[in-house]
Amino acid sequence: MAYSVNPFLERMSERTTSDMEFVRLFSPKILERLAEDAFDGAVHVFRSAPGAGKTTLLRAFTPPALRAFWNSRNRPELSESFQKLVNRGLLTEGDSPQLLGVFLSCASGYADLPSNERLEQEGLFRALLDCRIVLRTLRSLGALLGFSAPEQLGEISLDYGAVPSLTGIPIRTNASELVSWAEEHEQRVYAQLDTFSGSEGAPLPAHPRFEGVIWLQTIKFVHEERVVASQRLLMVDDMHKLRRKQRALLIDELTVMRPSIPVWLSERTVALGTELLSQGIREGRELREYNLDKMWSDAKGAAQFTSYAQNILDRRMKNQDMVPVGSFTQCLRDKLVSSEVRSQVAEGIARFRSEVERLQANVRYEQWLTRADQYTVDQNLESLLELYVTRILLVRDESKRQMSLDLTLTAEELEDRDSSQLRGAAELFMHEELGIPYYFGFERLCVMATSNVEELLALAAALYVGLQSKQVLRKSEPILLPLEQDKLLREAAGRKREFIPKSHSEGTRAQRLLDSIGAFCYDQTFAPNAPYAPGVTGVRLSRSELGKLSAPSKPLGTSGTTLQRVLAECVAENLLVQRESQATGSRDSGTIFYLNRSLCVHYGLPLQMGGWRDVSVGDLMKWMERRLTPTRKKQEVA
Amino acid sequence: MLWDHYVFRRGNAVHELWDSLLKNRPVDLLYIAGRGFDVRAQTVMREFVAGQQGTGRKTVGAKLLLLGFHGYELDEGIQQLTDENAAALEAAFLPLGPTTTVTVETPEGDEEETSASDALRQRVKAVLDEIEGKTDIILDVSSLPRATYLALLTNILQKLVPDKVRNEGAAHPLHAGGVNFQVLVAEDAKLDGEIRAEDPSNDLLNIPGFFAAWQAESVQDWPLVWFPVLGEGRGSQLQKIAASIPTEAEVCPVLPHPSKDPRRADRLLVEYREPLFDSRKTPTSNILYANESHPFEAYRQLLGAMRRYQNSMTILGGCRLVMTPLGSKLITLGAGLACFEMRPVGLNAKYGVAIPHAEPRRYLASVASATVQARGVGAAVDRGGIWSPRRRRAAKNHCRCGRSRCHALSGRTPVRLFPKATSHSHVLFPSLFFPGLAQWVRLRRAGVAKSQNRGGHRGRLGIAWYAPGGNSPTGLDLFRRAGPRADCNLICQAWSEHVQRLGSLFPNWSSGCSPKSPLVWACSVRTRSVRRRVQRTSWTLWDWS
Repeated sequence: MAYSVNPFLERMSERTTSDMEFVRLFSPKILERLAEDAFDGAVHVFRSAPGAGKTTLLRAFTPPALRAFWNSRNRPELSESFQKLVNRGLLTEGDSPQLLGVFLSCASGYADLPSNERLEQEGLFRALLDCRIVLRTLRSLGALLGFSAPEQLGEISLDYGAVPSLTGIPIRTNASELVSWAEEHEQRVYAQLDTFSGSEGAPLPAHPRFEGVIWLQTIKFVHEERVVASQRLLMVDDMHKLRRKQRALLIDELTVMRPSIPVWLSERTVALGTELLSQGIREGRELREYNLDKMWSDAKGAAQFTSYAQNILDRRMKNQDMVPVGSFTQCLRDKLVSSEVRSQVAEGIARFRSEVERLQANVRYEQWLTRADQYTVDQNLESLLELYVTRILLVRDESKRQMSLDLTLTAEELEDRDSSQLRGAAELFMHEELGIPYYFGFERLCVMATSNVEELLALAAALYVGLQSKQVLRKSEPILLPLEQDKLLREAAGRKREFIPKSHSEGTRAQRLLDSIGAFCYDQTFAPNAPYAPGVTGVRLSRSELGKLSAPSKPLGTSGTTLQRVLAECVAENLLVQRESQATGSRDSGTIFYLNRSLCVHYGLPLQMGGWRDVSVGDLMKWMERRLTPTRKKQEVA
Repeated sequence: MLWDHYVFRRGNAVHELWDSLLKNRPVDLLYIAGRGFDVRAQTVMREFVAGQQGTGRKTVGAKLLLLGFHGYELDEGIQQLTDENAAALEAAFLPLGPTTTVTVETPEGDEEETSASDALRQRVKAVLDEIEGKTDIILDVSSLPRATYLALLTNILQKLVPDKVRNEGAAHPLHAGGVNFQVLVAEDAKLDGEIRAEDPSNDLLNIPGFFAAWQAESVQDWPLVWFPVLGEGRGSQLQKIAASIPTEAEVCPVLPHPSKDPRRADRLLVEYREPLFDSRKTPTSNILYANESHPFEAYRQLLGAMRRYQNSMTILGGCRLVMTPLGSKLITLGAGLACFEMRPVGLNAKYGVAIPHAEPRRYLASVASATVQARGVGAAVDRGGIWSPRRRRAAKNHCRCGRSRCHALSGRTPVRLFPKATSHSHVLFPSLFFPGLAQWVRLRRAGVAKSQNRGGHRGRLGIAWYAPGGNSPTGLDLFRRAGPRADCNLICQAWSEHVQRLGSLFPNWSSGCSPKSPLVWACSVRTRSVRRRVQRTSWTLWDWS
């Protein structure tokens, strides 16, 4: 008996049960963000935090996926994907796919090769990669041509006319023979490694250069007297799994080689290590770098991510039948109705009245308080929001130090001082003090995902569990109320925070650091005058502070090195979002580290990016070792 | 099956074995231990050294190889305990011979870094280089990380037993040129569960000798069968490995059952519900059960399962069998033996075995719990058997299974270990139902059931009581009225198979089904009359620890 599966938890996009399911779940919106020259002959490096969709993107160009797209071209739900691939020149209406996408992963043991003499090690690395390129190319070719059995590869002949002389890859005119060579070559290497024979046995193979790429870009495949697969694309995934020197060697040699076919290299940003914090992009004609996280982070990208996310979630929702709803967004109510929070609204109004009691006698605020009184009559969310805005402005005005004439403040002045940021802060205060739901709605769900597909799916999975419960309990409609969404999302955020030490190599320190940043931001956000409305969600290190971290002389000692490592890992794993801040008249330039938006939910912070505060490296080092706790106690919600 | 006949000893029986094995012959000994924080290793070593210094023992050479480890984050208290433990081990072994510490550095910074797998390979090679010429090799896994002792176990066996095929007229492969290989374990599943592993490394570590099936490109298209052996608090490690397991892989979770804690398997199912069942369509009929504290039972279960899959999947062109042992030490040893035996010979094998592991970088344990001596201390693996010291309460007589507390077989007065186990909400296991007949037939064939043939198989064979509603404080009791010649092992094996069959027929039973479930009521109704009859007779209980 199989358990019913949560469609948002299945990681189907990487190694799916079938290619048809992969194409059904694949959202083509990401193709719109792909650079125009991504298919030019050069080395293209794709980077992002885990779960941003790199492997999904690469997999979409493998022959089985392309054939599945082509076979489904007439299906309405997949026509959009097909059309986008046609627009890119990768598929045609009339002919079957011609692009030979060769997909390899570096998570297959290159880093585990013996660390012998450097030249031997490099030679063995090249030899193993070369035979795998050959093997995977020929197998992909079989998939592209729709072969059902490996033996059919014998029908393909290889034309070496344009291939320069290669020392490592033998000349075999039949594809089947070359496959056998590649398999035996690889197995012999592993057999030698497994027996600890070392130098006593036959020497391990070593290639002087990456001949696999040269072979791939020049070899001709002939099937039934017709040249096939003339378009090629080499995709190498999980580059972060290589050793530093192997990775540098691969990128450098490929760049120098100037391949005539596109070579896509994909890696997590953790591969950059501490260089990530002072990242300089090395770009040129032959090497192009793309960061998938930053792709969605600008204003246009944020809007596109929402539609991309909706596309992904709706496709997954259609892949289940437990909850009878077509679209995921339909299940999330994004409007809060006053009747659902009547008691909280009444409590909020009562609190406001008791807090402004002491200001009744102050002439300065007479008009503001009269205006507020009108809002206390209508007990609804909008009036409560107005009251909270008024309260914040009252506190701000009271705390102004400068001398001012005791003139009555007009209602127009209040409205002038009002702003969307202030309203955002007021909403958050309402949530914090009264328990009025804040984290709900599809738009906020997308923001919480921090432009990461995996995080989006994890949050959606939590909401789906709520929908399942409703279904089991026979509730009338499978729609999650704002209160329910708020609770489920906060629980999911809590689980994410709990999981940090279990899933990252510096997880324990990272958790302490993030908790401390969260506590610091909480104290800053919930100051009664909301000075940084809507709230603070990040900390900034100025250029001089960052310089202390990256200085070669290591002035901060091992703690500084550890902090650098922890920060780099947090940024690489999307726990912190890095943004540059420009210099102004009053301050130095620097780097802002915003908390992951899901973690903001856990710490009760707003979801907008913008508010940050300067800290020093010393502060961060202290927080990393000893967790900071908020000085303002969280208001108990009745 | 290489270990068709095995030896497994606990407690005082280990000393008797050492006497018979090591007396009156020259011993050139290599003792391999870990430079870790687990102080149970001291107890094991002291017992061995004390014995080896006794009369009739002749040590011509002895060396202690302490394996040191770098790169782990340990609390100050635990680090101090590690240093003290190492000093104590050296001091304990000093009467026999010197100590050599083997450490593989994993440099950081700008130097060429060594991967964890490569470091492990170097460590194993350093140990294998010491084996030549030794008559006795002892591997103490008490304070070794899991990946290390698995690698050492499988590779030492590979060196001693390069050819696993039995040839007519030749010595049994396990003869190994007369070299004795023992594994000592201080096992306490509860304590092992209290040691938490955190911060799993981002890179998976592969056991040397089992690289190809995981990494080779030529086998990536083969179907994969994954055997995660579950243990408490290893969710993060499992998640790391699960990320590399294809969605279409066949998953066979292995649960420790029977176990001292009868609810342990249920709790593990709940703990691993999301990664194994919610995220993947893993049918509960795939669950395998392996005895928590009997590595050879685990070995048989896993080897049998691996062989069945390998035979079935040959038609698909080949398969990859991936083992992830995250359970207790004894089950892990059993898994290691199964993987060793299944390891393919030659390049043309159409299957492969892999043991990927996510090594944690941080261990969290309280110094107090780490220093408590486990009551079940020391187990050893001979190349022909597993030896295990046990608690001192063991009875003197042994049945063939080695269980010293098999009272019924020894004819001793039964001891009621669970006097409160009088709840009437028990469910009778299917020994009384359809599989009982198969069990009886099996015993008949084994020639042991003849003397018991009074009143048929009911009441004569194993009857297991399982309390689904949790009313009974003890849970699982096993009693029988068989005669002294009955084979306990066969009962255990048959009982394990009953458990599996029941699990496949009634999927909810293992997760603690409600007393109101159809299964319980059906069983209660059917067996009420039998239960009344059984309660009137004297019956024996013993625990399965």
